[in-house]
Amino acid sequence: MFGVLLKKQIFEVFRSWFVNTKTNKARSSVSIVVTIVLFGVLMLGVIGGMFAFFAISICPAMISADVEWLYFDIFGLIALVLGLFGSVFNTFAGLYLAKDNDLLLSMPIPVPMIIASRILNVYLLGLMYSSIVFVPSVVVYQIVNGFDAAALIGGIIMTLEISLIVLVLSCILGWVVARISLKLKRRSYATVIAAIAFIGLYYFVYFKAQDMISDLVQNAAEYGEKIKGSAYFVYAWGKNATGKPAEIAVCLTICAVLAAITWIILSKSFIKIATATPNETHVAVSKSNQKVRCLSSSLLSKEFARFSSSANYMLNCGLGILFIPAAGVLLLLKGGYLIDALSSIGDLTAIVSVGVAFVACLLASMNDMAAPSVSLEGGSLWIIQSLPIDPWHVIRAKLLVQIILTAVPMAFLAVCAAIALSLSVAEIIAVVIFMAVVVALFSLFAMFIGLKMPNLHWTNEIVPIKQSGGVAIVMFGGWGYAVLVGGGYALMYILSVGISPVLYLICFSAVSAVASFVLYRWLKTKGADVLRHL
Amino acid sequence: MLIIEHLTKKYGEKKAVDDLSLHIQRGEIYGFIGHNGAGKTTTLKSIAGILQFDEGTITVDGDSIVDRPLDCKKKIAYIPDNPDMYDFMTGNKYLNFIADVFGISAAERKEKIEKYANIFGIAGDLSQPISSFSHGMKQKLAIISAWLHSPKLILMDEPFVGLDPKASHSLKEMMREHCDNGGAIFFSTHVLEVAEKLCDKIAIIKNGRLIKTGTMDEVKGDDSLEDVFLELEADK
Repeated sequence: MFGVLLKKQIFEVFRSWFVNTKTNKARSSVSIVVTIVLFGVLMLGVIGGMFAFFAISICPAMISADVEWLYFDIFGLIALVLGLFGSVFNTFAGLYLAKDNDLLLSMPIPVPMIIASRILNVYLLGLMYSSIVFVPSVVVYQIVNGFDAAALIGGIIMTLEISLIVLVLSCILGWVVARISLKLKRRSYATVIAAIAFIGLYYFVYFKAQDMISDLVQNAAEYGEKIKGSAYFVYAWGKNATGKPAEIAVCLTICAVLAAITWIILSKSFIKIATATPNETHVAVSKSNQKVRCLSSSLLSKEFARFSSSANYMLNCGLGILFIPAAGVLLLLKGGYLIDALSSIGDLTAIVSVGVAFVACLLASMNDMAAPSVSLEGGSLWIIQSLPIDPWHVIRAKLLVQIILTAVPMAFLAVCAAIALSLSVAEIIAVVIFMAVVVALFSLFAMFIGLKMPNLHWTNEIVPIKQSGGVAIVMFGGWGYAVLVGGGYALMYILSVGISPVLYLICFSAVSAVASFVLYRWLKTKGADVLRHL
Repeated sequence: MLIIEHLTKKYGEKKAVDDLSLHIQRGEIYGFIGHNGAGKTTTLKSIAGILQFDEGTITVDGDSIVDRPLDCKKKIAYIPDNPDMYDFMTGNKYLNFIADVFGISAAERKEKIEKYANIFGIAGDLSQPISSFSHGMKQKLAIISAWLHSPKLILMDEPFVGLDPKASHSLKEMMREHCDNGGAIFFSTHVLEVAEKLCDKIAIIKNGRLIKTGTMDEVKGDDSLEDVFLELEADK
């Protein structure tokens, strides 16, 4: 029985190797081989290679300082963070929201077996991500230190311990998210906030870790003594990878206890959470919940509701909403340093407005919610097609969502840039006009691509949101446009073409406005026709 | 009310609907029956303005669906066989969205939503997201949304699938009431007993071609509708 569940679960994890998730059709043999090879090259060659290179750079110094255990602690910690990053987002959905929960629970399968098969899913992902960090460190240690059977066994055991801790932490976080989700009405916002907080924490640790690790390596012996004296578990954890039986026993016991506690929590709450319906209040029909809107407002409201209903949609197509104002705040805080740096290079302060335009383009390209908006209509497209609505009005509502959600943060960025970089009136006008045109152009282009490359037959919304060629074209198109703006001016600067930044931005804005107008006309005529007959 | 003349719709080389002509008058409940893949859904979608067709004309109350699509759609309500709706909305928000599209006043929408939601027993569920609705509840919601703007012509594709017996009974009463008030209904169904009891006229389609149409008596005579249908299906 467990074997059957295991087989199903493993097929689910690696389904994308065998089935094209976009078309839902089986891949050809060649495609399967190419996918597996590409995955192997990416995971082993690129990511594994990167960590092997890092291991080679610090391993000799650590061995000579006699703090091999600290070497394994460092890699263990990185493996833990990466493993957690790779599996935590799937835990909640994988454990509690699996579509076949009801089916399996209705069959004569013991519940612990279902939980175990679900957990295995999470475990495999965690193991894959953490191994890609830790295994290279073990291999490098064996090469640098010379073959040591005990250390090899210790390394393997620590790899398993790390994957177990990743599993425990992922399951606990998944359980916490599940408990919170049952009580929250706007679950998508909670997911977005949690994801952003986690990503922020991840990058904070990532950037700080570089300094901390280089400091650790330089003063390995000193820190080693301090840690050994004050944090025995940290010492024991690293030591168990070198094959010391006592430390292995301690660490395995702790991991086993943690895993057992997690298992008890999950098995006691699984059915309750997996089959629960969220807190819902039943409201009678009343005049107060019948809000009358005009057609345009109703369509716009519908599009905003669609965007805010999905954490996937918000995280993948709307990060600019956060990053654009964040850039503004950063400019307010660090703008002075930027001006000083540009002054020290030469008189580059004059081109700062082009720099702002370049950054604005990059950040604006993070918002591309219009691109998948047509595809996301999916099976419900019949509604707008059968109702007496001009398709242009539907397109306009989709466009407006992106324009509003990009223009408002962009206005904030413009104000911050004007204050922090002491822009002249002419520069402010040029930057504001440029930003306005860019917001319009990017939104129109995203809508154009959305209509040109629709995919209405998806089974998972992540396909049109994240895995569609259209979204990639829009995002990379935005980057390309940014390079054109920044690179174009840099080239003219190098070639000593005498054009002021203000004039350059106005010229660029004019060309972009023409392109925007062409796209606008297309959307209003041919685009509306495309939507009508999709 | 509805005039279809020589409607032809092709998918590639295959004719899904082939030279179909049909007239539906005010006050008529017109049943549309045929085997799976006969062309019923294609015909209904063409009338609703969802599908482009290759030949022929469709006019609703004098307006062509090709030349005046918006005017035409204002008089129509369409319910598909599998009503995928906006899962991210609550039932109430969805109905309000439809009411906004048709410019229905707050008082009128409140009265109608309350009336039909009570008939179908989902008044207490309208504050829930559509994603939590069962198939039957979605079907009920689609029916309420169709009746919301008092359309002249209602198109329904397998409307009884997923409905509980009470809701089916209510729907039949609503259909009759709608037609008695001067409206018209064109619906497809596989439930021949329902068609036989409910419909004023019937059209049988096979491989895209209309093979028999007329009043119930003209079509079935003294036989049952099932016998007639099976006989026609068996004919080459």
